[in-house]
Amino acid sequence: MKMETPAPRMNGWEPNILAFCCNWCSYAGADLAGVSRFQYPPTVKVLRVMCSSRVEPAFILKALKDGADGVLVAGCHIGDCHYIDGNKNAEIRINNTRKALAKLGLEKRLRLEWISASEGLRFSEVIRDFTDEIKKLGENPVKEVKK
Amino acid sequence: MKGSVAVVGGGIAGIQASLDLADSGYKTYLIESKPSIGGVMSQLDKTFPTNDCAMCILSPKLVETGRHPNIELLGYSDVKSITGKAGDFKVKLIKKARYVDETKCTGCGTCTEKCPSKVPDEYNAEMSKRKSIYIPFAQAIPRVATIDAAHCLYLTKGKCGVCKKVCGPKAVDYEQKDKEIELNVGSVVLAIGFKPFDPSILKNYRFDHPDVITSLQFERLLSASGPTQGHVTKQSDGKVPKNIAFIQCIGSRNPRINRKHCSSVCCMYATKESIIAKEHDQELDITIFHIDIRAYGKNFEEFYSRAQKEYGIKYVNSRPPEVVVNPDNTLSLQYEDFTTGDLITMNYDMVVLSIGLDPADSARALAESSGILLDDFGNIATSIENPVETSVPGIYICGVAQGPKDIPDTVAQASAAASKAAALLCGERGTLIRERKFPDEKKLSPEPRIGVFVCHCGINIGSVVNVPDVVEYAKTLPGVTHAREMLYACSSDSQSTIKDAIARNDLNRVVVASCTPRTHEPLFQNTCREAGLNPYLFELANIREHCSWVHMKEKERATEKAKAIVQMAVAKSALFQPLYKQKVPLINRAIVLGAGVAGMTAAIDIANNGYHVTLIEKEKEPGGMLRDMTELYDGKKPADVLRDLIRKVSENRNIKFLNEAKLIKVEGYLGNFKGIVNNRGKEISVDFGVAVIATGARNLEPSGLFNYGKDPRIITQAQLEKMLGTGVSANTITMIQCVGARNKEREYCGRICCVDAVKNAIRMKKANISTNVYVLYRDMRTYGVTENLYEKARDLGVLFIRYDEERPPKVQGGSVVVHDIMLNEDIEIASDLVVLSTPLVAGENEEINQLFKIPLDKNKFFLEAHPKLRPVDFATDGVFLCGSAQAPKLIDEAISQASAAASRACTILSREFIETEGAISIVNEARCIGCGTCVAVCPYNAPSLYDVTVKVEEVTYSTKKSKINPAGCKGCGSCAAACPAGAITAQHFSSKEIGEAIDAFDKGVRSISIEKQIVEVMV
Amino acid sequence: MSNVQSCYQCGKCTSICPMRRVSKTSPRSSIYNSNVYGLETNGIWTCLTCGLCPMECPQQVDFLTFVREERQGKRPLEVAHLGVFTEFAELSSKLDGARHQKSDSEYGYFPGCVDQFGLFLHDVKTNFGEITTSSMKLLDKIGIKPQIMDMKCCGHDVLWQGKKDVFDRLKKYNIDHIKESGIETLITGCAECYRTFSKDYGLGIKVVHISELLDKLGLKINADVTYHDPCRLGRHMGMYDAPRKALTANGVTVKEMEHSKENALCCGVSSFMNCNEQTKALRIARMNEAEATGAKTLITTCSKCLAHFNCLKTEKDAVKKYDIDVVDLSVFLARQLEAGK
Repeated sequence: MKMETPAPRMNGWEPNILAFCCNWCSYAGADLAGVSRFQYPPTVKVLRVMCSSRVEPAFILKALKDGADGVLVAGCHIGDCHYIDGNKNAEIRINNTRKALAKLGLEKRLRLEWISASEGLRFSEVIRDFTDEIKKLGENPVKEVKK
Repeated sequence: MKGSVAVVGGGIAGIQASLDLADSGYKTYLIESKPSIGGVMSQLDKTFPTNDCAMCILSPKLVETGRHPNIELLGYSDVKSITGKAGDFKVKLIKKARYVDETKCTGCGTCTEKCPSKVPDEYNAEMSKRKSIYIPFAQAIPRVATIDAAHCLYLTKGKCGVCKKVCGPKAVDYEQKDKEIELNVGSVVLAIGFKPFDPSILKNYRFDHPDVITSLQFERLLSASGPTQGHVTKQSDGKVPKNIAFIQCIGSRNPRINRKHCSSVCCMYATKESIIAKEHDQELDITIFHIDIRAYGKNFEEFYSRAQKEYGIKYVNSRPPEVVVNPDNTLSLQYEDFTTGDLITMNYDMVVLSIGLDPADSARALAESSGILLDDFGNIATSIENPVETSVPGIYICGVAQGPKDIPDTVAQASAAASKAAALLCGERGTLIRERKFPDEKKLSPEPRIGVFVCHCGINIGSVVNVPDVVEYAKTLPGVTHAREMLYACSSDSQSTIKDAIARNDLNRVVVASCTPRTHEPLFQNTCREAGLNPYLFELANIREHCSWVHMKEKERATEKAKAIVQMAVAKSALFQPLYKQKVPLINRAIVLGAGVAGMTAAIDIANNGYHVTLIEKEKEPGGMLRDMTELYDGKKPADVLRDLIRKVSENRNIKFLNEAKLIKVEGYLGNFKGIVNNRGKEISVDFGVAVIATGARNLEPSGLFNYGKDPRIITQAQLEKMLGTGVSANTITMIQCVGARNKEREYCGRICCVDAVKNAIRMKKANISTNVYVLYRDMRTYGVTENLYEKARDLGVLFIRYDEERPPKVQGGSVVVHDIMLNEDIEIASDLVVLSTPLVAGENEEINQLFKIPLDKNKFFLEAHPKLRPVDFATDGVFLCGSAQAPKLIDEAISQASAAASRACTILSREFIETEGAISIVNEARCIGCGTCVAVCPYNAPSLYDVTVKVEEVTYSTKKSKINPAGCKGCGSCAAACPAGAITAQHFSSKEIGEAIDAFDKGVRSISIEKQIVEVMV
Repeated sequence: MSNVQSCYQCGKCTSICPMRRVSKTSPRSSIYNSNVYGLETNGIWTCLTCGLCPMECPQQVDFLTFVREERQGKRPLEVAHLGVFTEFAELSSKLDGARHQKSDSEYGYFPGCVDQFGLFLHDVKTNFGEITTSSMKLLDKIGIKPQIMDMKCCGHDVLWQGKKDVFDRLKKYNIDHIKESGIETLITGCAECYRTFSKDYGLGIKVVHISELLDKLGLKINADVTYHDPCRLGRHMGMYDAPRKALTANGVTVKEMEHSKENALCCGVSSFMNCNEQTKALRIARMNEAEATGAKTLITTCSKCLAHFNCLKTEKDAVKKYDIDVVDLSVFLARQLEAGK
């Protein structure tokens, strides 16, 4: 049983961003953006993780490989981590991943942001800003490969 | 006796007390007069001295309180009276009409959006408007709407009625009435907080001018969720201010208006607010006008110092008497420059009044109705040795209602009050709580059968996202065997529908596409459990906060995004496996290290809660530093207090006291520690479930400072304290404060040295009024109610001379030369005694931190789990902290902390077993290579390496392997992201589960292959 | 195509298989199940592809090719480092890559994946980048100024992990890149790159492992070392003498381990697959052999062997501490070169 889901293509290309948000701060910040009705473009889909330190570099590479135009990793501000200093581990991993992506010219498609539970506006601004940047960069250059 | 407690006040103190009591097995009623719990802390932007986001740390506590099965939240209710006696109180309260049925309201917010009536918003300190039907703030608990009856058009004029019309679940009820309720409880904890001082009383500070605002208003201006989204702007013209003045002690340290107390927190919050404002706008010029800067707490002095050095915030020791409103409506302040004597006039764009903490109105009312005594300041009266006990046995007090204090001291007292209430009722523990029963879990068919429920949330989702379209799309997704829409997925009839659908369609995974899991996941998880599904087979797809509410004008694209969100949730859920919280047995015994005041108090409290305690003291005699003290600051004799404590320890059959003993080895974890104690050369093994560290601190010997040790006339404050026991005769005595503290080597403030100095100065004067007593100081830090000692000392003629850090006094024999910065002259004081006030320094903490693997701060004091909300916990579960081992503190504070540590310990000891988190990380032993990477990344010491002999076919070798202690793992998943061998699985957030969601996120780019999943199941 | 059908099930391969010592891996059984029933066995994934069994096979069955073909298009049982290197290779295979450009030198030097190792293996406390800088110093000393080749991953790991499609894309790009550069000799410091470019690419230009060039450095090093033959350089390519000569010609004494050259034991993890308690046993065995030589330095010419031995060395709270430095050949020589200056 293999499902082929038809891709509903929209007119014109719009960025497609995957955001890893930590449960305690940045996911809550995204929630607050919603509660406050801060509008931002529908270019981002949030994947909740308990801590930004859960994000494996391979997740980011995989998302880009699968065609994501940008990947955002968002965690608590340094010092605010629900798990004491998980975000510091995340910072090391994400920065290293960005350095690796630099070799491929994709480093601008990865962002690490600290967004607190009270920064709903900031969440929407980050998404808007990242979307604009991705628009400037254009579509993810990965070629679609027939399996 | 009743196994229940009423907690009055739902601020951080009431929340902490309730959680501790509920966790210890007592039915807890939390009564809050506002529509939501959270108190003043919910209004704060950040917290000093770490600048943690206040809401980030508070919100999880709100949610936990709201969903705790043993806590009954009585929001929007006022206590009228408390009668009865310890063990059997009647609490009368009025549950005010919300005009909204709490059981029906889903908190969707449609009513608020449509309500036409706008009123000043208290949450934003009246700097913005809210609606007449409202939810006070985004994270409010309970999340239900309340109608402000004073402003509602329908209730006041009989017109409008819009909210009732738009309310989908029909929750609005204009006929609702106030309801009187009487609770019968065993004990009462008062956590009624404070009232921010109203500065309009002080007319000269011109609070009527829009650019003169209170510190609480400024806090809201800084907050990203505030009226200006965190942009500091002038209320008069909306422009960005260029310079701001803070005026301290507005409503504090002012006997003229009957505010004799220091409010304890204003110096630090002004510093914090200044730093944050500077972080927002580096050009901003900020001046804080103060009397003394009271940076007395842990890391406060360092914070104060950073504010000056790194942020360039100016501190001026002078108090402007008024705010002058100039003819052009600008503001200016005039003040005396102490160093030059000049009067300086400065214009400021904005003036922030650092308002103090007044007793809450309800304090006096409760005192009158319930016979609880108040102190001179209008706080609920307590004593040094019983800091959380009111004059009525069985009624306890915590937080600012007992006296001004910061959040950690408040939280510690809250736990302390809980400990006392729990001890009183310990015979009734567990009698009034009930565990929720769920049916057995049904057997899962091997292939995923996913049910998708897409919520309209009235019009919140449905008006933007095409819900039927999303449902149709969901039906096409692999593994989905049932999909339907719902008007309100969270309403009670929808829960029945979901349960029914699970049964009829034999669903084994459930995805609800509605709102945020942070508030609604537990609800749906319970629904799944009621239908025989493991709660970890559930996933929420957030298409409201993350979709319909943020893409309101892009309906088509929002619908497409909603489909993608659902697809990700479906893909991930297909791999979900049932997870279980493991039950690990525990040893219901404690150890307490150190038998000073803190250690003995902790031991007594734990013992009074019914648990066995081993109290371990390295010295022969218990008592610690109290043994060398000769008077407490309220005049009591320490020997009496000590005798009483020792009697309680020796009489308590639950306490085993080991003197001349030292813990030398510990292994194990929360609930199951094994220790070895060396008791006079003999090794005794002690098994325990929790440990309390109360090893205290010691006085700094100021060798080399101010010629200490070279002349018998130069002594320390601790030595003077001891000498005063028998009497000291001296014509002139000079005390020097901050000796060996607040300097480069030891940056912190000693906290208690000012109180000690003032206390002993008073004793000298009382013994002989003609004795000349000088106190050379940098800032007098007699915070809170100890301000009255400072006042009394001045009344008695003690002379206080301020010196500057850069020009410290010089001591030569009995001669003290001090440069008086007010006079700008050197003064010589011929003294019979020179007393050096030195701070407490950390004791031998390095041995203990190794034993338990608990961290120390840079001054070698123990580092608590969180400086604000977990002041007596360690990040390592099952180990607690109290007294001066954490940082210097006064005896009453140490006692509060000790009871708090006992309370925290009892939340564990009261359990029959330790329940682990469900979604924790696990190690695949065969893949583990024992490299220890996981041990290095885990902040909780959950993974540990153990020795193992591996036999793989023909080869046998010794190695380490990692095991994750399920009781220690918090499920962050960091170790899984670090393990080079891929041996660790972060359950529920595994690489496979997340990988499937990543594959699904860009729907259409790759379809989900279901075969792969079936292979997984077979492997 | 492998000649697997010529297998007559004698089982010699299984008897000498290093994985059989620590697991149920049986090359014979893998061949049997595949040949007779067309069944996939775990053995095709636990195989280290160390190349020991084909050397002993009386029928000269090309087991390596068999394993590689069997793995095609299937999902590996275990990939170490959470698959980050595979994801990186796959991602880069789908991108255009650096622009091809003409080389100024007739030599090209390809550093391999050391940069990514440095970023994603930071726990093993090894400066992988030093392999590149060292190689450049040494080449400079012998008068070679190569063009550093800005290519994609050679594709070794993905090829052996069964992702031939990814490998083919990487290979196509790299071949074009090399052709466009016009170099005549491709130098690499990595045993896996060397094997892949030599055997799996068909480049038509000279491929050289750096150890072949280092015997003329003229260093006088007074040191005892032992040398670990990586599977790829040794049995796969038959290059046993060049690295030894690069050491001895510069004064170094090489103390051989109990198993060396054709019989060398594997470090335990090839192609970043199967890092587990079974392969750890192999790693321990190899390190013990190295230690038994009495040498204080273990030299190797494969950055994965380097990482894996250093992983064992840097274990937190290890049962056994190894007092032996594990160093890449070029790094060892370049450090001596610097020290002698």
